[in-house]
Amino acid sequence: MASTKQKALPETYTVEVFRFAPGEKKPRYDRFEVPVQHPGMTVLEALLYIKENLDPTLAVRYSCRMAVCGSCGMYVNGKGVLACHTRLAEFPSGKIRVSPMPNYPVVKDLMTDMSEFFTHHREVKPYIINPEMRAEIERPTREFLQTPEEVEEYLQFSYCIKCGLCVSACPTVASDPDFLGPQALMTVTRYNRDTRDGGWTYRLEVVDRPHGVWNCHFAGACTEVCPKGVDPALAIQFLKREAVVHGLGLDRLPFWPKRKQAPLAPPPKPARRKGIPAPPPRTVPES
Amino acid sequence: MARNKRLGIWGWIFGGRHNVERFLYTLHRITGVALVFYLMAHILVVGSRAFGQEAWENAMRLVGAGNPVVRVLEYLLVIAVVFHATNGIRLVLGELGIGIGRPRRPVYPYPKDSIRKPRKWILVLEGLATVYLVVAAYFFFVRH
Amino acid sequence: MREGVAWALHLFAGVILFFLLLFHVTQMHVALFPGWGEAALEWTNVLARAGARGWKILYLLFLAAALYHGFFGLRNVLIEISFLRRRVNEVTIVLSALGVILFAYGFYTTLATPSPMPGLP
Repeated sequence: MASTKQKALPETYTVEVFRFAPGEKKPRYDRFEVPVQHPGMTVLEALLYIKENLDPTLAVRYSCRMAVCGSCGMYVNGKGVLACHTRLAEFPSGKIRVSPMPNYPVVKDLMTDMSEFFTHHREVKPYIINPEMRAEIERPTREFLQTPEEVEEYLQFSYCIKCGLCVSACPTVASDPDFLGPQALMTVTRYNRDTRDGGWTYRLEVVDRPHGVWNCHFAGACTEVCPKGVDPALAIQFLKREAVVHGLGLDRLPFWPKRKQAPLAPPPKPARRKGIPAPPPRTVPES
Repeated sequence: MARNKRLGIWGWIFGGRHNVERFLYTLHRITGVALVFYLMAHILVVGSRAFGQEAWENAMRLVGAGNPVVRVLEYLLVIAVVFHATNGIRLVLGELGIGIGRPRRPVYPYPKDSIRKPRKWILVLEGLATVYLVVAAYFFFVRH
Repeated sequence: MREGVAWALHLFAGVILFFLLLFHVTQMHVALFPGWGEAALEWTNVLARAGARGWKILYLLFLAAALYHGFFGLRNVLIEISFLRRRVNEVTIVLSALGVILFAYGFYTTLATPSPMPGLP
């Protein structure tokens, strides 16, 4: 892909786009000629050029155009990418074939239905649960203290933008719709490794079942396609070790290292320097 | 109506242009399933030895021991065993979180440690497997 | 049994098999020593192995590990196929029954093989 520096790029690109509309029997590929408008033109820009000039019925979902929102995940020449994050220059042949992410229902053209994806995501409770600190979590008064090393443990996994590319690349998901999928399993590790969290037993119970974490067989396709470098495969393998330890009951043994709990920051000291007199007493009652 | 685009078991192979580990996943399953079916037949055939020499020799004749075609099939079986074993060692280590790196900040170009780091194991393990298979081939087809 | 414990056993059996199976394949097909390779299938050699107590224990361990690893792996593959995914219990029961039957047969084979005649090495 990097060998495009010196070669002159094609002036027009042949873009084959997957087309399907509800009610149609079979999908088809439509071919468009898209002129390259500037050297950094992306696949998303090419699709928008088609929509503006050639065929306004093309449906494509996008929002931020800068690989932050995770809306435009699709397959370009058989590889899962964010369309906004992939330049036409990466395909010096001048031909690209754009199709929606596999393993999702197609709503129209390149738009996929992500509801199953988010069902699995919700199933693992992707937020901090801490029964002991409930009052503090719901009405925060102070911050939880974490060392930089403790942040590093989960920071990479929190970069996920929920584009769904990992799930579309996973071979297990291809045949098993009930499998939680790389994104949800990665999220379990992200929250279980967070020292502010206390809900790890719940999440381990959710993944320790058929179609849970054990149906990941380390194909690594999720890591390969992830456009944000999140490395879901790494997170899932750590999760397996954690779930085995929990399932065997090793973590209940007395000598097993205890999970760290992030302490609350000490209450703030009154910031008043010496020699400054106290304010006068209130004259109006406190509301 | 949305169109279901789930690939089914064909997605194990034809899911797009993916990394090599994803194809090893499929190969691991194919060899694994084949070995399970071989194991069932193997247990039944070897069971003949409990009934004495004649039963054993009959069973060996039945499965065609010494037949050149059977020898080639057996060699394919050894390939499957050796591949499944070496790839399995990589999977065991990786799945227990050994040697696949640690989480770190995703700075471009992204690290992708969990697949980049074990790639050298693939080379080493499959290299050893190839050496073994070459030696085995000598004993299979030249000096049996 | 917890799914995770079963999976850990699957891994453990796999590690055992790595050594036992590679040894078995080498012994059966690579004639490094007398009685190995093609000759390993001759009745006297079969009997010499089948009669010794150490070999019997090894064979039983081998049998158990191979059946457990194989059938757990097959179950994993089967429950990932979409039309069997909601039939996890049925798949598990059928495969466990098959595994137990094959183990019983293998157990019988291991114990019932006639002892080698006196004077054999």
